Formats: sequence, structure tokens, C-alpha cells
Amino acid sequence: MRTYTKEIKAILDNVEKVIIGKEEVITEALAALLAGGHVLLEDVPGVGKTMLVRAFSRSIGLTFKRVQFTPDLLPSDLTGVSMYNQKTSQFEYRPGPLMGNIVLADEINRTSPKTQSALLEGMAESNVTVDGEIHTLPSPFFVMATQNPIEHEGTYPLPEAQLDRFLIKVKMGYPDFHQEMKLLTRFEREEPIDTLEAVLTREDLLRMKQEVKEVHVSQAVKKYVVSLVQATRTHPLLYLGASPRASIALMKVAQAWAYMEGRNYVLPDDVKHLLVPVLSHRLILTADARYHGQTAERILEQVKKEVPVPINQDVDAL
Amino acid sequence: MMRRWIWNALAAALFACLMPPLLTLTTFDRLLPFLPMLTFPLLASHLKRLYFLGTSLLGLIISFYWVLTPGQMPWALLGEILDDVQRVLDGSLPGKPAFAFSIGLISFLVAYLARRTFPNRGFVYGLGFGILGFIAYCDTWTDYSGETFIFWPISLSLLLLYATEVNERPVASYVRPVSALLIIGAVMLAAMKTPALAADWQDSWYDFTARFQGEGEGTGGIQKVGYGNNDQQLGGPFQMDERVVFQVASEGSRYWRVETKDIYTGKGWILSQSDPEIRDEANFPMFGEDVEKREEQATFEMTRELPFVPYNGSNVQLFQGEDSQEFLIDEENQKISYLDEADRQKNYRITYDYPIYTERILATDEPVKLSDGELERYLQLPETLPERVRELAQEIVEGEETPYDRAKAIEGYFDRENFVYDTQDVPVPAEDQDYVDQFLFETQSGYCDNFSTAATVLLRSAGLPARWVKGFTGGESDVIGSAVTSYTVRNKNAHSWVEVYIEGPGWVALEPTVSFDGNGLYTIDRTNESETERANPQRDTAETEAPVRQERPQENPFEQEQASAVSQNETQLPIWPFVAGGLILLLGFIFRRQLIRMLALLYFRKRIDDPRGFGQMYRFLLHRLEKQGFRYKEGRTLRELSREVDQYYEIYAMRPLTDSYERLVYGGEALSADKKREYFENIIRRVEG
Repeated sequence: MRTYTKEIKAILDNVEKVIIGKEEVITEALAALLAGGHVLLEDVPGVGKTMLVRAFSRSIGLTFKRVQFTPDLLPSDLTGVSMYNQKTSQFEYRPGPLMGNIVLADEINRTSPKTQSALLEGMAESNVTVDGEIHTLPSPFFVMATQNPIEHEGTYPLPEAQLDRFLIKVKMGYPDFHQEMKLLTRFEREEPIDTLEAVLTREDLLRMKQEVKEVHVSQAVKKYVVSLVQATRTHPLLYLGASPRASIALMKVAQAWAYMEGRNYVLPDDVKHLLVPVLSHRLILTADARYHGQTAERILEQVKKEVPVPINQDVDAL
Repeated sequence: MMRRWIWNALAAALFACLMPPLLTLTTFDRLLPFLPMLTFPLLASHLKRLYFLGTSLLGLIISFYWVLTPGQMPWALLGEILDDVQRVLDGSLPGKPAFAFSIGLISFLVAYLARRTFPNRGFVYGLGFGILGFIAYCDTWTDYSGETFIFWPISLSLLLLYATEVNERPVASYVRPVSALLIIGAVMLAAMKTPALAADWQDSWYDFTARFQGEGEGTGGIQKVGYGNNDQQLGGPFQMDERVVFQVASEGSRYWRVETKDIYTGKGWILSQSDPEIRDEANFPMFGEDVEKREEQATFEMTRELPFVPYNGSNVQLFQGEDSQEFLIDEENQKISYLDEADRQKNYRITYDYPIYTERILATDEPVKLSDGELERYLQLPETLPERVRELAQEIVEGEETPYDRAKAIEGYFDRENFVYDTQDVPVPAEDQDYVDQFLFETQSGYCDNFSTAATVLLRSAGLPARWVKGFTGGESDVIGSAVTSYTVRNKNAHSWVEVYIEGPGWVALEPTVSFDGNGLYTIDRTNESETERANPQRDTAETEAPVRQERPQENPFEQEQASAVSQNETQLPIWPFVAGGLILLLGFIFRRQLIRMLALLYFRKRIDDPRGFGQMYRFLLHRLEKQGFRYKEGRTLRELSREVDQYYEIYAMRPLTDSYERLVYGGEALSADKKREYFENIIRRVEG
């Protein structure tokens, strides 16, 4: 059992009223939120992705928007449009669904690359451009995009460069037998999501995000991060290793993770724990490795076992 | 899974070790029928409850069907078992069915315990010690002898312990299997080498009180070798007694005479006459006038006050300080005794004349000039002595020219005929049997009394006056550095030998007992040998070579004696430091963990409060843990390791320490956690415990 700070525990408890037995996913998504990144949820429909995001937004008292990505979705459907107001004889900006604190982008790989890039621009720049005008997105701005790994027909897989913009990728997975039983009981009479109350304010979240940046990362831990990332670049089964952006991402999520556990310094354990969610979507396997049924997750587990953990203080002298 | 099967098999095998002692104690005779009952429950101890119960029951049924009542199903015996139980409750011994059933029940309960506790080292300790204790108990108090069998339960316990470790903590470490194999090897060697030793330990229990009763006296049962007065009935086995009688500083290893006896009865020795006188010097007529003598002195340090004075040679004087003392001198048996008990000395010095014979003196063929009385005493033989003994004596001495050659021929006879030295398998002669005859023609094995008595009788049969001498051999030399300081004489050094009278040299001592070298009886001076050669030019070399080879009880002349003493010391000198060093190393190895723990606690006591020292301490701990199989390399984080360590040792110490260390290394913070020393102590006690 991990220990979390009071605030994180409150969020977790709150979310767990709706989502059962998914502590791992919830905490990882929360870490991404605190680190100021976005989450890619890869899973089949119906496992509670939407529920998770809604529970999140309710718990923190944030606005929640949801976009169902379809092939005919246009960028303006996301960003909003300028409409002519006949009364004032002026174009008025009508915000699209992207103008929310937490945005669920459902089945992101179903829409055209053009629309995808509009979303990704928003994710990267925290603002959108409509008719030449720049509109700043609300803060915090947190995208949870889902992607269905089963269906490939009529999809536009996200290019690696764009996947790189997601801080972490998590998988919900099915609940086990008992969890599902529990789920049924809970949903028998009511919709628990309706009774969720906010345990944090938006201001709290912004303060926490600021505090995350203060978490100390020692030279030893940095060394560990770099060793891990570099190991993916030389790995024989990987066609493309992780980018320096991945190193930064790994460090930042690790900071958030340490913060959530109430520490003001990062441990190698944090980095090790987050290696798979942070890096797995950023790697490309060689054709040979894919043919032999290897997965990025499996390779990363291997890397974890091979890269030694720095345990000496002396590296601080670097 | 495989691991568990192996564990089960080992546990079952260990448990089955219970049976061999039981078989020897009961009327059951075969082990095999019991095996299903004993092993099935343990073998199935990890299966689901139903299978476990089923297999156990199956084992019980098979065993019962096989062992007790061929063809009869066990439930048919149920009534019998119940009757049996009733009888036991009434106070009588259980019958076969109840006994076998209770063994089955015990094996089931043990298996159930294994099932509930697995993997648990406590269970293995319990089982191992239980079995070993049971075997030891049976070995000590019953007819069962487990000296060689005990090797199996010991090695099985060790293997099972290791298997438990493997099941508890699946970290490969070669230290344990290798050390386990080494221990097993050592145990195996010890088991092969020590049965005799073990028997001695065991028997010393029984004879613990007997030790204090006499000094080798008594005729029935097992005797202790030691100095005793009663020699009327010789024979029977004895035990070596290691108790020290005295320590003596002398000019070489010497035989120490106590007394002689003259009348052989056919069963043992008695003294014909005794005539003690009070004198301050014992000048027994031992040697002829031509014999060269050297005055020697010896300083005795007795463990207990003896009633007699051991001595060597003639012209004996006893000193305490500078004063010589008076004692009872008996010329008939050459015994020196104290006047009364108050006179007995613990520390004293004697001077005596030690004979140095020459070849020429020994080679005389003068007729014996003893008085008639003496001749009668020293040529006495019992009427009952079988004729074949006399015939053998004639046969041995045939062709020998001088009396000395004849005596040497008899002395060497036993060695030539491959008689065996043995203290155990020596019978007491039957009512109508002669002691010497039995030894010479039947047993041909025995100890000093057999050899010396037989030699005396043979000498007398060959017409040579001879007497039987009792005393002590030289004992072990106590060496310090390169110098022999003294000799330690123990009860086991009590000895008997022979003296033969030859006109000229006088009474010459012989050592007929095989495996004794007679070193310290007298010295033969060979510097005159060339003169002898010149004096007897007709003697060819083969003749002179022959006695030299046979003459075991010889000693080199004084100059050479020292050289031999040095060479003897050269081989003895290095043993001391090697043994001591080896012992220290062994102790160090055995207690290495305690040693490491102590040094570590001492070293880090103060340093632990300083960040640098704390880091050192933590890395030292990691190093020691790695020796125990907890590897911190290759992608394991300290936190993961600490969790595992605490779990394994069932403590809470490594995690708080790791916490502090993490803070130091990754957090860049100062040390905070107090109780560090306590945690460190806790964990090092477990790791090096």
C-alpha cells in the first residue's frame, strides 16, 4: 500500500466511489494532471473511461467537456467558431468543447489528421487560433484522449510525433470478478457519479501544480532517468527509442508522483514505476520484434531490470 | 512446484529416519511396509485437503495391509486397535496394531503441521532435532547403534533446511548450497572415521564411576589399563585410560620400572617372597661389573601420591630438595615403596645408573652364576604348562649361539609371526587353559601382559632365567619450542615387559610386545662395534647385520641420541603453531558472523550520526546483505530491497534506514531519522546472526 498526502487521498477516495479497483490508473492520471500533461487512455469501450474523467472533474470542481471524435468532425467543431451577430454587427467567438478544464477526447484516432492536429495544438500551446485570433484555453487544461486498440478500419492512427505529446499512456483494463460484482451492487439503485462532491478547488489544484515543480530531483535520479531513456535508444528490439522530451516527461511525472506520496524529492522507485506509462507509447518496435510478439511494455520491463539504480551520493558531485 | 515436491521428499525421507531405531527396539523387522504410512502424508502435504487426506489414508491402508495382516483390511483391525487402546489405558504395553496405528497418526500430524506452516524453518529444526534426539536417545540407552546411520538424518536435515530457505526466499545464492555440501562432506567423513571414538564416549559414561575404584585391578568385565598389584588372573579386554599419572623430566624417554614378579601360575603372576628393608639407596644387583653406566637424574611430578617409586636402572636415590629419603627397599621384587603414607611425595628427583651395553658384553656365552634359589625362581614353570610351549621355545632358539641371541629370537618371535596388538578381543583363559598357551596357539592377539608373560615363559622354557617386569613406558614428550621439557605418563602407559639374565651384562630388558619399540630400556654403545669386528674377524657381515635389524629396543649412543632427539623435534616443532593457528582460523570461521557484527557495531557506533559515516554504514549493510543473497544491483531499487529484507527477517529496520539513506542521497537533505543505531543493530543482528 502506498501512502498519499491528504489531498490526493481525498481525490482518490472520491473517484473510487465510481471507479472500482483502478487505483493505478487514477493515480497515474492524477500525476499527469499535476505535471501539466495529458493522458492517452488506450482501451476498449465501456470500461469506465468517461466515468473516470467525469469523476475527476467533479472531484476537483472543474468544468468537463466531452468530444466524440468522428471522421467528419472539423477543427472548428473543437475550437469553436466566430459567428456574425446581427445586433452588434460583429463577429462573436463561440467557444467550442475544447474550452473546458478537463476534456475527454473520445476515440481520437477516428477523426481526420486535420482535426487531430487542432486538438494537439491546443494541448501543446494551451491556446487555439480561430479566424486568426488567439484564444487562450482555461487553466488548468487537461485532455484525456481515448483510443480503441481493437478496431483499425476507418481510423487514422496518431503519428509518433503526436503521440509524444501525451505525457502518459494508461490502460484501464477490465475489473476482476469481485470488483465487477461490487460495481453492479453500487450501480444497482443509483448513479454514484451524481452524488460526487468536489473535494478540491481549482485554486488548490493550481497551487499543487506549482508545488510539484519544487520537488527536488537529485543528480542520482537524473542519472537514472537518462540511463533508462538512453537504454531504449540502443535497445536492439527498438526501431525508435525515447526522445529527450520523454526524459523530461519522465522526470516531471516522477516529481508529481513523489509529491503525491508526500515527498519533496524524487526516488528511483518513482521513476521506475512510471517508466512504462510514460515511455510505452513513444517507442517503435522493429518489425522483427513485432513479428515475434514483443510489446513496448515487455521491452521496458526488461530495461528496468537491466539498468542499475544509482545508489551513491557521489554522483551529486557531478 | 518442483521446489515443493523436493521439499516434501526430503521431509518425508527425514521423517522415515525415525523407523530404523524403532525397528530394532520392536518385534517389527522390515522397514519397507512402514514407508507408505510414514511418507505419503508428507509427500502430499501441499495438495488440496481432500487429496491430502486421501493420500494419507491410502498410505495407512497400504502399510496396514502389508505389515500387520496380509489379506485383512485395516478396518477389520479396528476392534483390535480399540482393545489395544483399552489395554494401554489399563497400564500394559500396546500391541502391534495400536503401535503401528499411532506411528501412522504421528506421521499424519507431522504432515499436517508441515502443511500449515510451510515454509518454516522452525518446523525443520523441530523435525530434525526431534529425529536426531530420538536416534541419540536410542543409541545411548538401548541396544540400537546409530553411529553410521546418523549421517543420513543429519544430511537430510541440512538439505531440508536449505530447501526451506529456497522456498522462503527464491534468491539464488551459491554460498548456502556450497557450505551445505561442505558440511555434509565433513559429517560424512566424521561419520566414517569416528565410530570407535563415538563408542569410547558412550562407554565412558558407563565407566565414569569405575575410574575411581581401582587402577586396573579386578578380573571380571572390562578393566582399565593402569598400574595394579594383582596379576593373579590375567586376560580380558580393557579400556585405555587417559588420566595422567606423572610428568617426568629426564634425559630421554625411559621405561620406568616398578616391580618384578617371578612365579607364573598358568593364569598369572605371583611373588614367591618379599623382604623389604629400610634404606636410603636402592642398589639392586641389575648389571654386571663390566657394564658401563651413566648416572642420570629424573624429576617427577606426580598427579597423585603413589605408594611406590618408579625408577630406571640401578643405584637409585630419591631426593626431596637436597635431602635423600629413606624408603622400603625390597630386593626380591626390586620394588621401592614408601615407609608409610605420610612419606609419599608428589614432587621429587631421583638419580640412577642407566646401562650402556656394548655388543661385546652382550655377546658372551658364560655359564650362569646365579644361586640355586635364584635359578629355581627364575626358571620356574608350572606343572600344567602344555608341552607344546616348551617345544615352541626350543624351535625358536634353535641355531642361536649366544644366550643374548636366543633371547632376542624369542623377543622378536611375535613380530615375525604377525601377532596382533589388541586390547578388546582378549579372552580370559578357561578353567583348564593356560594363559600363555592360549595366547601363543589360539588367539595370537593381545596386549603387553600377553606378550611379556609369553616371552618370559618361552625364555624359561629355553633355559634362560627370566622375570616379568611391571612399570610404565616413556609416555608422550611435551615439547616447547625445540626442546623436550618433560614426558607425560598416563595410565594407558602402564606396561609389562621382560628381563633375561645373561652372565656378564646381568639383567637385560626385552620388549616383546609388538608395536612397542623398547626405546628407553637401555642403550647399546656401537662405537666399539669396529673393535668387536676386529676381535671376531671370523664373524661374517650377514651375521652382524641380522641382529641389528632385529634389535628394536636399542638406543643410539649419547651423541647420536641427541641428534635423534633433534630430528624428532624437528617434526614436532611446527605442529604446535599450526594446530593453534588452525584452531584460531576455525574459530574465526565459525564465529565469523558474530565477529563481523561486533566489529561493525563498534566501527559505526559513533560514525552513524555523520552523513558520510551513515552512507558508509548503509553501503556496508548492502554488501553484507548481498552475501545473504539480497542483490541490490541490476535495476533493483533500495526501497524494493529493503522491503524484501524486512519481510524476510521479519523486522522493521531496513526500511527506516533506507528512508534515511534515500533522504540523504536523493533528497539532498540532512540526516533526520533518530534510532538509526537501534535499527542498524537490529538488522545486523539478524543478517549476521
